[in-house]
Amino acid sequence: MKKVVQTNIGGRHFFMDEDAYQVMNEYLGSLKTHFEKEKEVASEIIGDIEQRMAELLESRLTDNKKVISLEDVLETIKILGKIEDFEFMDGEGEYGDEEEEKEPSYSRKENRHLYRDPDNSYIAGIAGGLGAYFNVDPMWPRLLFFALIFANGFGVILYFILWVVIPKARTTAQKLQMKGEPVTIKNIERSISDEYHKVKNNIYKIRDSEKFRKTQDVFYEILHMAGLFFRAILKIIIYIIGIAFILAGVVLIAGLGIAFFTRFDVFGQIEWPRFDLPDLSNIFIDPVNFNLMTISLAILILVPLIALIYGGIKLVFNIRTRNRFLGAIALTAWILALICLVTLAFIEGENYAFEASESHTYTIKDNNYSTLYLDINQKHDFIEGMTVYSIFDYDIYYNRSDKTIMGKPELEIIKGYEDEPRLTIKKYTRNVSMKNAAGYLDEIAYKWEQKDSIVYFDEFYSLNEDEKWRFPEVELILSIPEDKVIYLSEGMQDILGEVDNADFYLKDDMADKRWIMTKNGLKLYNRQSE
Amino acid sequence: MSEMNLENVKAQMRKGVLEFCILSILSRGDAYASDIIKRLKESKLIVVEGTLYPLLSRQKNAGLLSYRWEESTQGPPRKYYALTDKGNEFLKELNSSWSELVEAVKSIYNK
Repeated sequence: MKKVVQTNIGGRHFFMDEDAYQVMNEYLGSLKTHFEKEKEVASEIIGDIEQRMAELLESRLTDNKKVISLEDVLETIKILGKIEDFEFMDGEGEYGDEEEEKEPSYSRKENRHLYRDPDNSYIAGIAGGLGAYFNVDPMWPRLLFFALIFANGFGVILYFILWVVIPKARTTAQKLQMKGEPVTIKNIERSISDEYHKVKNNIYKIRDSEKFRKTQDVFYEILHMAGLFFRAILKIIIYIIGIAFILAGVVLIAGLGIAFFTRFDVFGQIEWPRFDLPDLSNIFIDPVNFNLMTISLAILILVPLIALIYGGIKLVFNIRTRNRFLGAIALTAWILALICLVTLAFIEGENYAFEASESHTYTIKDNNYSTLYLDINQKHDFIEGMTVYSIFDYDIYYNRSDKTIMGKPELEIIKGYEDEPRLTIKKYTRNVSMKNAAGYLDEIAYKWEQKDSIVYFDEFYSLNEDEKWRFPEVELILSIPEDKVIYLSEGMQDILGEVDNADFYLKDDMADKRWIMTKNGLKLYNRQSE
Repeated sequence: MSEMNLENVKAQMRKGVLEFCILSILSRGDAYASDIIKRLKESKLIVVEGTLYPLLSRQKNAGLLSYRWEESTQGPPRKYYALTDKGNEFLKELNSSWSELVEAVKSIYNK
């Protein structure tokens, strides 16, 4: 049982066997390709032929026969003429025009066209077509595509672009054109020298002709010659521009591929900061938004680059087909991506709209120790496996393995008016609303502890699991009563801020020393002076 | 040009007079494309029908002929071709040069 297709030809309704329908479609398709160069009259000619086809097909139907068979279609095509018959008529037509200006060398040059080879294909026949065009075994382009797959999948992208750009060889004539003359450097040179000879011959023609004396004609000839010369130059320029387009597109896509998919050091020798996209997303952005942003950004960048390669290929191989539909899709995708990216950026920006802070004050038990020791808690070696990102004035410490985000607090030491030392922990943050910001403060965890006369500070505060970075800050304010002696361990310089002191020491010099709180702030303390 | 193949030469000769013949047929009255085809096929001037349509389209665009849509008893309306004044002039020119050509061929052939 054959499948029957219902279709409309030249305004009439037909039932056709599926194979008959396919052959007819292929035939009409090849006519369309053939008449493409006729531009505006193409659809008229096709319409006329389609209508005649409908007449012929209808004449083959009877009361007992309602469905068009493959044989009917083949007979009709025989009557209407195969594509070769059309080409024959055309060829003669052009030969008949006795314009001697029409260079015979032109047809030779135009001989070879880049098509996809349907007879020699695994996927779309691109390697086959390229092989025919460059006169090499299709195995080589095939291998090249395969190898380029490992260059961040670039081979796949390139293959798809070529698939869209290069038309399929439908007719015998196209298949022959596909295998015309090889495009080699020598042939390019020759085509340029052909143009040169044409110009030269025209000069001789003018010199020899009687028209030479008529200034009017000379003027015309010069214009004509200049036109030819300009055309030759233009061809070369177009060729160069096309190659430049392709190269630029390919290099940029490859470069961006490397930048996106490999972790590398932007700043060369320096060990940090490293720029790493997955890290940044974990630190700042909701993963769903981040994926959307990445896709939008990829479209935003790739669409123009692919268009560049597309245009380059069209220029170099002189492909004239236009695909408005594709262009419209690309433009729409690009605009949507832009809108998406801007919206997401706005949404993400909202996350930093409101600021909140809170502070807690703790009393440090004095117990009459002569000296209060301040030290860093060495229990955890946080720095291992840590990446540091510096953004504005903030250092973000990020642990890739467990995805914790940390930061350093800043310690300030001031004079206290109470009997005992006190530690005030102030947290700051920003978030999408006042309420969220206040809630987020609880997600900032900072630990300290006192053991006898030693106060241990953690070197880092950390954000609770899955929390993103929202400008968190932790400020430690230690108030020391007058005449109290403190010792800053060497490690303390990591969290020490610029502390006012009577000796004007900078923070890096303040560690590993004893200090006494005086009326005028901290002062260097040594026992000998007592 | 290249190979002097008999079929090729015959086809070229036919093609040369094809446009002339289309205009001649229309000079005797307006006609459907299928009528023109019938006449040309009878005279063995065309082998396949499809090649006529590009010629008609070109002649129409050159202003040599025009067409109008005519309702038909079976199927959708069809194009009905007619010769324009310009086409008439053109045909006259072709007619005289055809006579010259025939004379020229005769005189050479008979010598």
